[in-house]
Amino acid sequence: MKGYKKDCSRKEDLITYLYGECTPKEEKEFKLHLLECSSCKQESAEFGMLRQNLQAWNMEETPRVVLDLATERPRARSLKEILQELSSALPAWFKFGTGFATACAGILLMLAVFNTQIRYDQNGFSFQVALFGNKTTAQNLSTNTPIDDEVTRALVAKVLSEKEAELNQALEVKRSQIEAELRKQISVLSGELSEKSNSQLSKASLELKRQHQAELEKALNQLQRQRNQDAFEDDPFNLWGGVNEKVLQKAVENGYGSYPSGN
Amino acid sequence: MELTDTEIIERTLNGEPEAFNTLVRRWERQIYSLAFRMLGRDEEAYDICQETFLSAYRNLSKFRGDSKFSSWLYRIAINCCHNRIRSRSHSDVSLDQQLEDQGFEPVTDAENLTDGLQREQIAELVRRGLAGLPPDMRQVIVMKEYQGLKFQEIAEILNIPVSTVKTRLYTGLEQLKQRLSHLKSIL
Repeated sequence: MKGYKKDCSRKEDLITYLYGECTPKEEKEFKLHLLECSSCKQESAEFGMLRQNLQAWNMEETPRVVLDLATERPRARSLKEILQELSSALPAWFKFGTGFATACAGILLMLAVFNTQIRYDQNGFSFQVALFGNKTTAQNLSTNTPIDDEVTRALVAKVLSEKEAELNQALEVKRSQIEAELRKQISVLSGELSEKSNSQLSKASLELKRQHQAELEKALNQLQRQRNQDAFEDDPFNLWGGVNEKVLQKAVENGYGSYPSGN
Repeated sequence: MELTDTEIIERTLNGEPEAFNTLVRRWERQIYSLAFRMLGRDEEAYDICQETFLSAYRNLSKFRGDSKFSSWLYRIAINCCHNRIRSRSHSDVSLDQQLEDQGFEPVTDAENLTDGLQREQIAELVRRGLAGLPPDMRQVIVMKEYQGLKFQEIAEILNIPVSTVKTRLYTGLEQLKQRLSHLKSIL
């Protein structure tokens, strides 16, 4: 046929049209196409003739199928088949979620069996496996280079020195505050003793104040001595050595800090 | 009132095995026709037909009713046909191939054929032509031409897309047309 082409891309449409399964709109549209496309037109004619030839192959009378159902019976569904049916009825997200959870549980179980230790700290990520309790391997998976002992020591020393400086500063401030308080109390007592009106005070009271003044001065001296010592010999936090604290406590109990001046 | 396929299946599963014979009577012609056109031999077609219904009966509890019973039955029959084609001996296939090769030339002079003989001759050539096609193309042609199934039904039975059904049908018809080109001299 003139203008006959084999390369029309509407083969599926041709088949649909040939077997009458087009919608009315599609049929109308394809008939218009047939007017333009010689390839489809020729194919349509040839296939039509072929289909007529196919119908020449008639079938003889169908033999009657005889089944001996007495010895047969429908098989009950196995558990596997029931599970498969249930599985097919479940939504995909549920199946995926269940599978994912099962996989996670399996992985965790495996890690537990292998005594796995996973750690993440400033040294990086470390992964350790000890099969059946025997720690066999230790693998550092850090992306950084391994930190050697020297660097570690330097870091620890630096941190310690920083903390020591902070403690020294706090200690000095506290000592200064206590010194000031002691000086103040000593001056008050000295003033009272030197007043002209001290005749009104009993002799015993004066003696007691003198003793207290001496104790406070002793405490002040001890505090100043201790300042000169290394504060971090044994216990850097024991600032008073116990004695001064007792003295101070005693002084407070005797009420010297708020002793009335005058009567 | 005639029972539906599903109702008959329920009865069969509920202890009335003879109810299944109703289904056999209802569908035996279609299944036999499919097997006959797929295999080309009466005896084999009958065997396949029996095998199909027996398999369907045994596995009736697996039929879930998602598709039509006929589609399920066709699927079983197609599988049985494929198994039979695979199990044919090599010598058997060679003989069939030889027959097919010889069959494209008219055995007798076309000028002297009566209309009746011409039809038989064409039928024989069609049988041989179909037998020479690959099974996946042959089954689509058989289901469309002789069973009159819709494209959608064929797609469901074979579990393939509708577009694939159409493509296989087109390709199959194209190949068959080439094989039967000799008929032009007769017609």
